[in-house]
Amino acid sequence: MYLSLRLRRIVVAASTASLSLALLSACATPPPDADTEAVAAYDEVNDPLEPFNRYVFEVNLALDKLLVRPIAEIYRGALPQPVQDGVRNSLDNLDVPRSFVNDLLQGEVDRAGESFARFGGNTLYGVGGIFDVMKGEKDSPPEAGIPPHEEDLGQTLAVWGAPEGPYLMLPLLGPSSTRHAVGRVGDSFINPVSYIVNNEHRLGFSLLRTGLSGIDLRARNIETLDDIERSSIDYYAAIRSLYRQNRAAKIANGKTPATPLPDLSGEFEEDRQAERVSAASE
Amino acid sequence: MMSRIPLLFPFRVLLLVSLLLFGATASATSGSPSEFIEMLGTQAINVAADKQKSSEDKSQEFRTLLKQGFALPTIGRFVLGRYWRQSSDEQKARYNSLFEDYLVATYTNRFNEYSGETFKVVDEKPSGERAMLVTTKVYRPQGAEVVVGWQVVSDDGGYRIVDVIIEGISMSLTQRSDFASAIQSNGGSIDGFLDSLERKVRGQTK
Repeated sequence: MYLSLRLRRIVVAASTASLSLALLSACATPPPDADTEAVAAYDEVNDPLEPFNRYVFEVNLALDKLLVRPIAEIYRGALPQPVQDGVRNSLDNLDVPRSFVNDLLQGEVDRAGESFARFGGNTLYGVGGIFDVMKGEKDSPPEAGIPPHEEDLGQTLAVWGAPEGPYLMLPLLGPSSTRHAVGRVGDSFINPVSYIVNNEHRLGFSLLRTGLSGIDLRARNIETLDDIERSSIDYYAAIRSLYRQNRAAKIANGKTPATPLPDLSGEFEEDRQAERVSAASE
Repeated sequence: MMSRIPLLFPFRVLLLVSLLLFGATASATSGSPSEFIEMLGTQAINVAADKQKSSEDKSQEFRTLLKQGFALPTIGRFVLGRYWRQSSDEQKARYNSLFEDYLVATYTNRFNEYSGETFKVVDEKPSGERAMLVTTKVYRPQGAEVVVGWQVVSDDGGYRIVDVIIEGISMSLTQRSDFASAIQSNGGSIDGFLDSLERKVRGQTK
């Protein structure tokens, strides 16, 4: 007991020291003010901690290769699809109270009602959330079912106007932002599900939930991530862009185009014009 | 926004004139953007689902479809962003040809994993100044459906895709971010980046 406590202190002290060292030495150098295009590009990626983030990303990739992906492949290979779907549904159901609280915090009363109904219905009639009976059939009219949605404190903070903060690559948890990371911590306190088990088992329960959810998510995205890695030249930058656009879409709840779509039509007409001019001169 | 209109006005007049000149032949292919996406998607699925064809044949047919359906030079130029203007004519030419190979390789790989997905057009609305956004739902044999948007511009009575938006994620923006970062890791050298792109294309087609 004594030893483990001491060991823990050493690990904490060592990791804090190395983390702060890394943070100090790892800030990206902003481009000179005179180079306005470079400054705009630097601001656009919102990643002042890039060298540090890239380091964590490399560690994550190594851990993924050694541990996470192999477990995810075993999980996917060993469990039949309906069992995997049951696991996913149960985990998602446990997150619905969190969405409900955040729906309310965002003033989205209708969506809070949807969360409430989904949690109640799936817990009671879906055998504790194993089956998503509330979703309804594909393409049926909306009154036949309630599609799932997800809210978290990071999204609530965004709706309240909190800035995104620098992009962050978290160990094991992956891409995030300062706002998202703060929201994660807050969510663990405001999610009622955190309190259904007693104090003693709370941490273990929460780790199990996060771990299982991570493995399931990884298993579902093996091909997708392979594809992104294969098709991108800078995997890190591709993931960063994908994360930030996806996050913006979640915050906007699909109402408005979250990331303004690039308007390529003007450029397209210019291209066509240039083609015509060169064709005419030939 | 208003200030762009006078600037583009001569272009529009020229466009109108050329449309009148070529209109007779071009109008044969006209339809709604949704019909265009439906047709192109069906053709792509037919190629992907054909078990008789070799992967080289499929690759060739995808290339034809991509060149027909996508505004490749425009997308390529947008994706290269500020580095396009810094490139020499030779670099631009090399990039254009590599970018086409790169997209063909990427999409061919994706389509080779085709496993019975179907799609349906669910919405069509204006996007930006002249583009249209066609929204489709892609149904997978397993798992939730995916919302895919297609930003299209009209082109002499037909249409061309300028961006694909998967669950709110723009592919053009993602590639632009990827390429910009890759150029920076090459110390801002366009040639170094083009070499990386070439290696990527070779690695993918192997």
